[in-house]
Amino acid sequence: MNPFHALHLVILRAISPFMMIVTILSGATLIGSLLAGSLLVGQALASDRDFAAIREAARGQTVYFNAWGGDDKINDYIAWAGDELARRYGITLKHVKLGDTSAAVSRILSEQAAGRNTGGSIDLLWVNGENFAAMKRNGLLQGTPWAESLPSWRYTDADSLPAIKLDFAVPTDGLESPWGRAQLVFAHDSARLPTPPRNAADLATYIINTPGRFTYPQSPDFVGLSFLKQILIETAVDTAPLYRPVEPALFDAVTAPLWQWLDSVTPHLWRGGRAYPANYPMLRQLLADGEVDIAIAFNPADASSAIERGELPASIRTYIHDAGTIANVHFLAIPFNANAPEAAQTVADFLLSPEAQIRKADPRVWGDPTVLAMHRLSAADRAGFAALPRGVATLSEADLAATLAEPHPSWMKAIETEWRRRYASGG
Amino acid sequence: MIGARHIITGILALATALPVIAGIIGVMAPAIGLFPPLGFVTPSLDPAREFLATPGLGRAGMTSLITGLGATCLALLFSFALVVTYVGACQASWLRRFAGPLIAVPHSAVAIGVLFLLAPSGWLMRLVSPGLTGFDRPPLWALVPDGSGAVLCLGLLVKEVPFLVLVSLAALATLPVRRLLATGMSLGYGRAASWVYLVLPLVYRRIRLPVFAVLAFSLSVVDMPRLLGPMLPPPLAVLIVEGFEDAELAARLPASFGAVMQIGLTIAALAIWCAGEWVCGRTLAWLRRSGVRLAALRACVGLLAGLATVPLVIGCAGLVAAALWSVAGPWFFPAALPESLTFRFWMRADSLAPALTASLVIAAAASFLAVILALMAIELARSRSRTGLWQVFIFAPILLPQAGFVPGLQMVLTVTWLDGTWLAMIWMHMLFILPYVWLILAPAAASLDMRHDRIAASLGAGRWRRYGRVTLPMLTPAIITALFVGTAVSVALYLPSLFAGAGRITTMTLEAVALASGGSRPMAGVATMLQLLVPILFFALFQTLYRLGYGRFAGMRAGGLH
Repeated sequence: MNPFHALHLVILRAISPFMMIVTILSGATLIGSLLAGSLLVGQALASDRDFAAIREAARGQTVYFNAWGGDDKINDYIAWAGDELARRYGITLKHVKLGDTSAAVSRILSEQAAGRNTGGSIDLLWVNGENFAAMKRNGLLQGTPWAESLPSWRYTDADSLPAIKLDFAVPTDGLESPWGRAQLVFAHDSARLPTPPRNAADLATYIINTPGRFTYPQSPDFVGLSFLKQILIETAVDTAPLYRPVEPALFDAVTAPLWQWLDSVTPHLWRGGRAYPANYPMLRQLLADGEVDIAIAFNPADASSAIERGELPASIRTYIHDAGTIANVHFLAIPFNANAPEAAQTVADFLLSPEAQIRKADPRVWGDPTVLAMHRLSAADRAGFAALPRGVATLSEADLAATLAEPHPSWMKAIETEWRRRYASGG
Repeated sequence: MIGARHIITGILALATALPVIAGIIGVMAPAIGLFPPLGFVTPSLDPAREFLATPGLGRAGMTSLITGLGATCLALLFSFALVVTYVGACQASWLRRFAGPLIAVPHSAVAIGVLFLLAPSGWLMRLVSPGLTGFDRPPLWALVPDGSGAVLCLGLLVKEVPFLVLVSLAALATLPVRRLLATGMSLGYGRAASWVYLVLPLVYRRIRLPVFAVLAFSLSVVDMPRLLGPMLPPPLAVLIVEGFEDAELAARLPASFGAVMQIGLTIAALAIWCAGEWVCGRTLAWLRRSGVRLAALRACVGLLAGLATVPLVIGCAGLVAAALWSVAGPWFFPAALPESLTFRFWMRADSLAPALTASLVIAAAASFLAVILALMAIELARSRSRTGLWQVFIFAPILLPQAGFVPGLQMVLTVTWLDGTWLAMIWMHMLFILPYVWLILAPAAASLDMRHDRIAASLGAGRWRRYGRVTLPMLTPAIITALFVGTAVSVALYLPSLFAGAGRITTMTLEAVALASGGSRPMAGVATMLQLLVPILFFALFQTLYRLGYGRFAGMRAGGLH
């Protein structure tokens, strides 16, 4: 607690309301003069001071952090963060391991229906894209923006990485704090397929010439749909409509090239397109088993981690399409009825700090790319990032530079339905 | 006495009907367009229209119906063939020891095991490649996943044959099997024919409800078809769950309508089944009347019993594979065994102690409570109080898709601020255990010979004394089976645990499902082993209890888990 604040409290208790007003005015004058002195520094200080109060309120609180728990590396990283948060801020972090985020959204929804407006069971949720859009639209998130007043926000730069404020083309409005980055990457076995196809057209040729050795996760799986969006962006004549909500009148015309592409390759897919893997880990397994030649993942470091765990052969390498691949950011959000919102913000702030982000980007720990902007960091932190090893199969930042923005989330549902109609209705 | 009865009825209603009604409303209201949290406040037919427009819906429904009826029919045939072949023979205890643990294996674990065994890159192919086949990479043709639903049936059989064997054995304990068989054979019928003519109809009458449960379950299973197929389109239940998992929250409304359709489908399947029952019953009666000897039956039963071991062996092999994967290092096609072993995960298993304790406590408490409630309800029924309506309520948890039903249940816990407490957890688990416990206890109680009770009364024993000294000991084999099935069901519950526990209480299954969602085979292997641990502990416990209590009674050996 800073001395000014302590003095303020003493005065509040001791003197008359009139004096209180004077005190507040003088405080405001002080802040005003600071602002006049240096706008940027002043803002940061003001937000730090507000945040000091939040951190103080957070002490002793327990944060129930609902996050996918399917990777023990990630679970270990969250456990490390929990230890640090307990030591530094007296916060207890409980990782509620989920198999699927929809279960947590269901629980928040049923709490809302039951009128539980405070004391909710979830304090912090790992979320992005469609889930965020749906929660935001239905008022399931904290009503007041908080993410951009976190002290660590100053290390980000929304100009160089717009996706931290634009989650699948939906403005985050400060209702979720960026945590990490993801990008669609392809993995191939360099021993079997030395030069993989690097665009949609070449991929189609490859599939037709090598029947049975390519597939993608079945929609509505997230990675499966992302692959379909990737092909859509690559083949579409005009991609502008993809970044607006779907217009039913335009849907057929915009997506026609995608269906043409799929019609031409589907008979030549793994199992003749009569079955698909349920998700990307199963696809990775098929690559490991040699059933397919190419796998798709949403984390550039996924293949390296799998090689290290012995789940993929050491000859696996990754690549992206020449036009770039879909990239997005994943976030942390606070539900509307969180029991410990102050502590949840403190957790989100810590996880966005250069220290936590450097550790997260380390492939030996997790290997999740950072959302921070290098030019906003101190020289020491920049050096920390630069010193990180890259996994054996992970592309360099330069090789990953070509990215495509996620289409508006409404396209996901529309593509899913049409895909089901065309390829999954048994007709 | 009247007071006590009212109190018991009140407890039953409060503990079961109330939350179940909330659960049912949670499904029915969105189905007709009512979902206030999302702003849907006027009834409409839109959810129905939207769900009925789902591409491939008709085929999905047919797939469900065919695989559900097919799996149930085969499971019944197989389990009867096993019972006829092995009961009375010295291998009967082998059968029980096989069946018990397999009941406890989670469905997803069975599916993963079957997949790993039969896939083109699976264990069977690895064992013969490249030596016999010359394949250095998996062939393009495949058994799994398949579009016909045959592999799904196989996966279901792995779980259902042991269940029906176990309930059949419990039913046999209440029948004078030896006398019936002796009668049949003294009239010149073969052993198999005597079973079919005289014993099995009586057994079937007692296990009819569990068979219905198997049918309802086969229609609603989700995690198996997701791995084993069919996928294009998947069975109806999978379509519904996809709706509930959709990030677009409004997709819950049509999914709820789908859940209502699922009930309709279950009722239709039950009707078809009952029609089949009638035909079989008539045929059997006609055969019996005309004195057909059924000499060929022995070979048929032998053949069926042989076939019946296939799913059991596949189930066990799948578990062995899972155990191996849980410690496997790199293991690529066509290697028959892993390159190296690693105990990376098991080294840290001590962190799972709280989850293990929680699972043990919840499973034990919930099964125990469910058995007590069921026994109370049975006694009420005996004294002619109505439990008909109550029965409708207790079966709702296994008839409705959990993804739609559980959020409604959760409302009751949320309103009462009970979520995240042990009480809520045990209560929720009890609701899902109760139908299975009821299925096992109600027929057993109905088949009790009440003359024992009357003799005790004539000797001057009071009501409670008669219950404690006569009725309860006679029901014990069934109670032990019910407790075991109850713990097995409890341990496997995922969504109810996630909701009621609210992250405050973690169970083995919550840990296991989260681990398995990462999709790596070693982790799935670990998850399977974790989920098996608790039921196997209970199995050993009940087995020991039974042997200690009843080992000296030769006539009791047929039933229970012994």
